[in-house]
Amino acid sequence: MGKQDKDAVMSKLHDAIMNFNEDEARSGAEEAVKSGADVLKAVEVMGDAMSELGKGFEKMEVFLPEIVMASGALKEAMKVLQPEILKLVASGTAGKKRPIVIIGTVKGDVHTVGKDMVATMMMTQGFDVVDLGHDVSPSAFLDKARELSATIIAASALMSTTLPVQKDLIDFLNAKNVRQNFKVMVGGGVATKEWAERIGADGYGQDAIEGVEIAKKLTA
Amino acid sequence: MRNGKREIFLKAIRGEATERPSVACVNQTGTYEQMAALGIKWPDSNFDADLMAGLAIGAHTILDLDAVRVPFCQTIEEEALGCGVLIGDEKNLPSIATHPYDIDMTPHFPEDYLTRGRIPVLCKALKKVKEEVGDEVAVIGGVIGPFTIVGELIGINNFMVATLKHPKMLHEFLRVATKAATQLAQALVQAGADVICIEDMLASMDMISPKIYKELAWPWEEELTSRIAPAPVILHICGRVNPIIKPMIATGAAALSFEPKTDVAAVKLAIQEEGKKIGVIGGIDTMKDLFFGNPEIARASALKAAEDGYDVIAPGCSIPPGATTETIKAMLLQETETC
Ligand SMILES: [Zn+2]
Repeated sequence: MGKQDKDAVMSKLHDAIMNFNEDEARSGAEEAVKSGADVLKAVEVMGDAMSELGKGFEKMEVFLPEIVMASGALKEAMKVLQPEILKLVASGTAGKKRPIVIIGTVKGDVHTVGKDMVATMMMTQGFDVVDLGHDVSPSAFLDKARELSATIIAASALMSTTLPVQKDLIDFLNAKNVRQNFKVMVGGGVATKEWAERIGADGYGQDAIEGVEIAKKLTA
Repeated sequence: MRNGKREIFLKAIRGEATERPSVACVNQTGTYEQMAALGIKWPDSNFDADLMAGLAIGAHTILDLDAVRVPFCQTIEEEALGCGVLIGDEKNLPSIATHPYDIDMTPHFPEDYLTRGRIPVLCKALKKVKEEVGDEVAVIGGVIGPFTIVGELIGINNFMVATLKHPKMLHEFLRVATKAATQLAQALVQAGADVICIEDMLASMDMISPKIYKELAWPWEEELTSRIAPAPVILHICGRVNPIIKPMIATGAAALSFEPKTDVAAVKLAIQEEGKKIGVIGGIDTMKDLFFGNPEIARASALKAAEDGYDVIAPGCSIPPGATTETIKAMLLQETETC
């Protein structure tokens, strides 16, 4: 397959995300693998498309159902691309090490939509993301982070009642004397930059796009 | 305690002039400090009518607001329709854990709906609140909007996708949810509620587009509102609501409640353009002013809210339970403080 075809695959993947089309995303990913295109580049292209949608969301031109569906399309493509990326990682040709992120919504909180977005975005931007879902206790975050030698722990809280659990998590890591082993990021509808600073988090993301930027800085 | 609370609030929500600024919260009012002062805690007060009433009355006796409201949580209708609920604890409200339906299933409205789950607890609590303080303060009964109920019946992610891909398949769900909300609202009015507040959290522009709002949320809010009449309705939607303000007005609600991130000047203008008299409720940021804030910050926002023309100065959404009494009471402006 020539360069032109590879470019065509990339634009197909980009469009599949922009049009939140799962089938196109999956077949685009399959074509990318078959044609020997750069799979990391393919993931990045889809990530850029997600960022474009995210910017549209801020301007109220794109709405959450579209983002959720685009995210679903991206996950379909990742099912095809992820094994290829793991092969590259195993052979040492994936470029620099992919940092591992443990992400979840804190204990007592069942909101997942925003956290899912951050997880998806991080996946497209060079991170290996392990999503622990919702209602995640501090010890569950730590157990997984230890097991996988994670770089980042990202904790989301969507309610004023569960926001203090982000602080509990950091206090817990301090008490276990492992705080310095991980970068801790907090986010979610009710968190603020000041709050993140107050509780001693390493980073705060107001939305999925900013969250990824901060994660990149923390692992640079 | 301030005087004339009930009358002032009931005038203010209709957009009528009042002798002093009305201050209230039309969403949940429970705080940890009130729980400590009253010796009534969560989770018990989300499951027992006397305790629910007891803590709700704190909004009058401790916070000195113009209205009291039950319930605190947003799970009662969903539970009665089959959602699994985590009971929460002393810090956290009940939350919804399981969603009984897939989009391709047919929802079922239980004929014994009003006797299921905690619906009798809520109705009894409201009746008790009315008996104890109903002459002094306005009593608000809270129900969940049909659109939001459906989101919980099938799970938010599937619901979001369905609004785009299979909007027609949501119709029967919305019908059932509207019936549930209507029956509960009517029961609460019968139990003595002066006002019904419909909280339709998922009908927010943080979740859906104006087009989806108009097609899938608005018609059912309108139906629900008209079935609650002649009792006045407060329609509360979280997040940014500027793009849907005209349909919100067209629901027939007496008053609209929203967060400060919505441009209130534009809302007032829209109401004027429609030639209606509708109360505007809000102006206080629940997190910045009440949770992270302090009395000075909350007071400054209350003054600004009065200046911006809010008819009821209120938190834009539920009071954060961790907010202090002192900070919340800083919203209570006196008549001399506004023009
Ligand atoms: Zn709200």
